Amino acid sequence: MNVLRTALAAAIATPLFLTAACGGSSSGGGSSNNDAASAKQLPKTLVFSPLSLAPPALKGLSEGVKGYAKSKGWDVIVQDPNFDATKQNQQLNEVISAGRVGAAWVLANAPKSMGDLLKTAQAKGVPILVNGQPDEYGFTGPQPGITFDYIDYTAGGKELGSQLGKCITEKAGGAGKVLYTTSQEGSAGKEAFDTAALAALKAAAPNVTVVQNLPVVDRAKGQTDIGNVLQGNPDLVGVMSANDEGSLGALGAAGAAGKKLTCITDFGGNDEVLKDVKDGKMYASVALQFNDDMTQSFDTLVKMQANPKANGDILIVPQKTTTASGS
Amino acid sequence: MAVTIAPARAAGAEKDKDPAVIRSLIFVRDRGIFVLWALLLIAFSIWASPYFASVDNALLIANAAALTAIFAAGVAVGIICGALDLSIPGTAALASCVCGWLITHGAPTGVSIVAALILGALVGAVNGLITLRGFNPIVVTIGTLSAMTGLAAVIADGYTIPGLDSLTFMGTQRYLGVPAPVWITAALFAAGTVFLTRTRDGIRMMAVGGNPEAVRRSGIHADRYKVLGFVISGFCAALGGLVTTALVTEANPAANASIIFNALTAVALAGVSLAGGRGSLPRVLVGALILGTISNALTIEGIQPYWGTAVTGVLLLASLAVEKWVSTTVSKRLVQSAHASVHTGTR
Amino acid sequence: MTSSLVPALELRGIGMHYGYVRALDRIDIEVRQGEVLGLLGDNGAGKSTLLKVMSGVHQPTSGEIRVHGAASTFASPADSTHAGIQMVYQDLALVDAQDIATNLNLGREILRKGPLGWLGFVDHKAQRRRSTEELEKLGVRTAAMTRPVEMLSGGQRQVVALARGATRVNGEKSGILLLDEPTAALGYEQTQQVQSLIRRLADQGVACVLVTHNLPLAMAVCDRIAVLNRGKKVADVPVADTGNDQLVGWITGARPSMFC
Repeated sequence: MNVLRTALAAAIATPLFLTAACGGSSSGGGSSNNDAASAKQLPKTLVFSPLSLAPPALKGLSEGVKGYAKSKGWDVIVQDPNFDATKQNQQLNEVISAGRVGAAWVLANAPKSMGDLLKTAQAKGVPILVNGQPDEYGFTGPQPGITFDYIDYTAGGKELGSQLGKCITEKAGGAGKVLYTTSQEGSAGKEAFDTAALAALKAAAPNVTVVQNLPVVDRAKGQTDIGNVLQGNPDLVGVMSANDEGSLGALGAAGAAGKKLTCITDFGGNDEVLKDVKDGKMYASVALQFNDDMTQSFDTLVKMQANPKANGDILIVPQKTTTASGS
Repeated sequence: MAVTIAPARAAGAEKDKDPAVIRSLIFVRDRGIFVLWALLLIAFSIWASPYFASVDNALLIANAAALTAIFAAGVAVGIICGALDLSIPGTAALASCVCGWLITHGAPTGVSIVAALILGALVGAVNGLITLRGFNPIVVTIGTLSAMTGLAAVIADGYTIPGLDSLTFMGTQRYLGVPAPVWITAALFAAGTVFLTRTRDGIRMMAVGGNPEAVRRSGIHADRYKVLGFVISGFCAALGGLVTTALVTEANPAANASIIFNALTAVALAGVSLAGGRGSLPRVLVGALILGTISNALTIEGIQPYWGTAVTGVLLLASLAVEKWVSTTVSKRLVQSAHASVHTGTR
Repeated sequence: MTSSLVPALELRGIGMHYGYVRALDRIDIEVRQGEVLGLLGDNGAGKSTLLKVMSGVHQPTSGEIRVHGAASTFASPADSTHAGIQMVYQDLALVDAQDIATNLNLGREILRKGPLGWLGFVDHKAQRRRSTEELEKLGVRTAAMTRPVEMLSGGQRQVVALARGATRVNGEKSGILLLDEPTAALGYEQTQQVQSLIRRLADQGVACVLVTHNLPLAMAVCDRIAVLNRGKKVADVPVADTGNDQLVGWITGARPSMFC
């Protein structure tokens, strides 16, 4: 068994070794910096491995990545692990170990299981960008060759809450009843988001009462449930929603009941919501700018390829608030 | 020349009607659900006052129930006909996406709606014809469900189709103060009930669900009626999908599995036997109304919706137990009194 | 009361085998209009098979069938129904959830007059009336027309099933009714009722073939009795000319076949 293990280790290590050796010899005139030499051998190919290509948002992101990378002269290999962490590890390992790619961007299905893969990438000098924060991967602080990119749920919730508070103060005299429609139980970052949102709301408008935390998953049921809440709270002034289904559902429910909600704030920002904000039907929408995040991520990876031993960055997905006045 | 049978027993054993016990048990079985709903309404009026007992709220409940009711009608007809149609969420999604696609590509709203409904009926026909070849209807409908979910996603290009404002006339619009979906549901159930109980084809369809062999031996093409059951189920699915889309002005290709869950709960509450051949659409409607009532009352009182689901589940189990008990008791008592009056042959 | 020279149903040289098993071996049998023919025999003697050949469920491997003198082949039960033959099955083939009137009228519903009729609306009142009349003609009294069949006792269900077969066969006065163990699950009183019904049908001209294990019933109701033993017909006698002991002898094989 030990013999087998050693043999396997040798099998995996060999390509790395050979590449390093090759890298060393073809680098030409006496480059003392081995890393720079290996880096020069890494192709301008990025491997993009999202959770799965099934969700339209991630499919869209992969298209965006391909487009942007192409414009910068890079090729992109898009992988589809279909929500399977083991498959994701395998697929990535193949291309990274074989030296097929020069950078990797990973939305990990199971961050804790990526440890070995990260080490492989570091050893190969392949810069890798992963979603989440260092502690999710078992690290503390910035790491060489790895950049962490995460969604700051606390910041998101805080902005959502303070926007509603602002609106209530401006338009409803700073007091009244509001409804908070939340994301489904078990959603990523839900606790941090909810806590921040409610705290920010209290801070911005202390005399506001939140009548209920209502989970909303699909728009039609959300609209029905919110309609029931309106029935029980006819003097409801506002709604803040952790997703688009909730804010759109609130708008629909109010319309169907012939009422008007003074303040609706949203976290999500799809096209229909943004249009509603522009038309004045909603007060504000806080949206994660995945496109900007994509460009910042890609640019960081390119930068890191030139200097893989340096510590990677810790990026945050940018967030933007849209209100009727433009912004 | 009349047949002479052994002399009738004393008049005391003759009964023109069933004993009162049997009659009241049958009342519980057939009309119990209406009583249950009435009790819930009274209870909630007291508990969730003052907001529960109002016309506004009644319309809200009716509107919420309408959606479930339309799907429940489809499920019920399928079960009555002897088949459980699990493809309903897929048909709903596909029909709404087809309608949405047509509207956003310039087709008149009326044409788009009709096209979607015809599509629903066609899907039903396909389900029925495949099932006739001898496959298990549950498996067949799961297959078509997957196929349609994929198709719907293709049509919607992976996203939803928003902005379908021309559908609000059958969504949030009110007529004489009553929301459109309520009218649609009322019409559907009225037509359905009349069809099943008063028309030849409806009666035959129910008979096929109860004993297809008996129907066949009467010289009727039982297979046609099996397919008809699926067609009606598919039509209801498409209608339900369209009404959902109309309410939110957005077509969603994601097949929503909770549709089946809610519809089946309403159907089971209504006492529709899974063995097929029997069932009453008005009771299914009340079943859907009960679901909507519970959810409404709890949400008004600020209780999380999943408690509503829990309460409904318990209620369902209780009603199944009551129904079983009633049926057994009725059979036992009928057998007893049957022996007493076999001489006269009347009851 | 028997009538006419041409038998209503005539089977000549009927043979039926499954593989090496000869279920029926050169059976000649006939029944006339208004006559009740009993088919007796032990289990496996072939009486049910013979009945199924008559009703079109099985196709014989040899021999011919004649209905009112005309040679016929039945590819399916529908064909035999077409020829005027009705069979009352042991499992009764009733729709439990529906009421008596619906069961009796299944397949020959009365539609309302006018536009409602075009839409397929059924005239329940007319159906109930017709069924009540038909049952009266048969001298049968049973539960109310609106009673669901599942709420009837075993005897009453049997009566409904018989009545259904009888009404469908009685129309042309040239019908043939096949009965497979009609009293198998019935008590004494109920058997009496069935017995009277069969006799009444015969009086009205229907040809009846009755498969049964019940010797007293056969003796009481039949005009003629045929006995099958291991696929062969071993007896075919008028009821008046035979008795219990003879019949039992033929059934068990203790008594040699009449035709040797």
